[in-house]
Amino acid sequence: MELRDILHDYLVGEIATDRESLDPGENLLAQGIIDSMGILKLVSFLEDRFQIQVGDAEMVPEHFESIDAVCAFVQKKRNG
Amino acid sequence: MLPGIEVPKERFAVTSRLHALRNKLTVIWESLEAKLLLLAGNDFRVRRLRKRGVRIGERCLVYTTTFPAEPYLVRIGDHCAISSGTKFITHDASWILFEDAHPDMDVFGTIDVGDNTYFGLDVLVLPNTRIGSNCIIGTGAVVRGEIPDNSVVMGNPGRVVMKTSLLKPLLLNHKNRLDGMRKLPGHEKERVLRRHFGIP
Repeated sequence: MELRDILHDYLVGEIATDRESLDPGENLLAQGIIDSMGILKLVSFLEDRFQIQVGDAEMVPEHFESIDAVCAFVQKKRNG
Repeated sequence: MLPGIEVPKERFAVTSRLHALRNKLTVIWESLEAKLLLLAGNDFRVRRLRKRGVRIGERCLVYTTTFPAEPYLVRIGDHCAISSGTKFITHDASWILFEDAHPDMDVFGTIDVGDNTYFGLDVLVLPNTRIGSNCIIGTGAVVRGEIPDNSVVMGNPGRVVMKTSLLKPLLLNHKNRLDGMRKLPGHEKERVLRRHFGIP
């Protein structure tokens, strides 16, 4: 399963539960799809699922504004 | 007692008792005043707290009066908002465990808050804490140590969970964002909220 699909399924299943699907480029912040607790849940999921550590300084909008942005962030973290 | 200055024992005892009584009366007055100040307007409350020694900047909203016996050890920057129930502590009384061996011991710490920082309800700020500017301290957080500028802090022990820049779009686009509510009279506000949340 691709990273993008894993994130999509998690977001739809756990956070954006009123949505059936999300576009990879859809703005999660500007559309009000995710809230502050949702961000914390997502980060916790990313850390457990992909064995990465997300630092305070990385908790910025650029990394969470869409599924594509989260994918790019996770890939960057995994590549060290 | 200062070296070289001899005070008769009896006089010293009377002075000590008067000193203790004065301290006790001060504490009683300050706790009474703290309760009364909660009923006062923000500007009056801030002026009184400043008079007691708390260093509070300009344009602050302060809805707590729980400042320590050493209010001068607390500094709050400009344009901060402090919700009710928030407490600032500048001393550590756990020395009482070691009182037998160290009867005169005391431990203190300062609290410094930058500009444009918000404290939710019932935050506890412990001694030796420096909170930067543009921070949000979430309800019930227990904060100690260094909090960098632009941080959102939650929990006990309080930890930085995100940058303020990330919380901003979340709030701006929140599904329950309702502008203009503070200007509405109570019954109108209730009507709008009931309709928004589908409460009959």
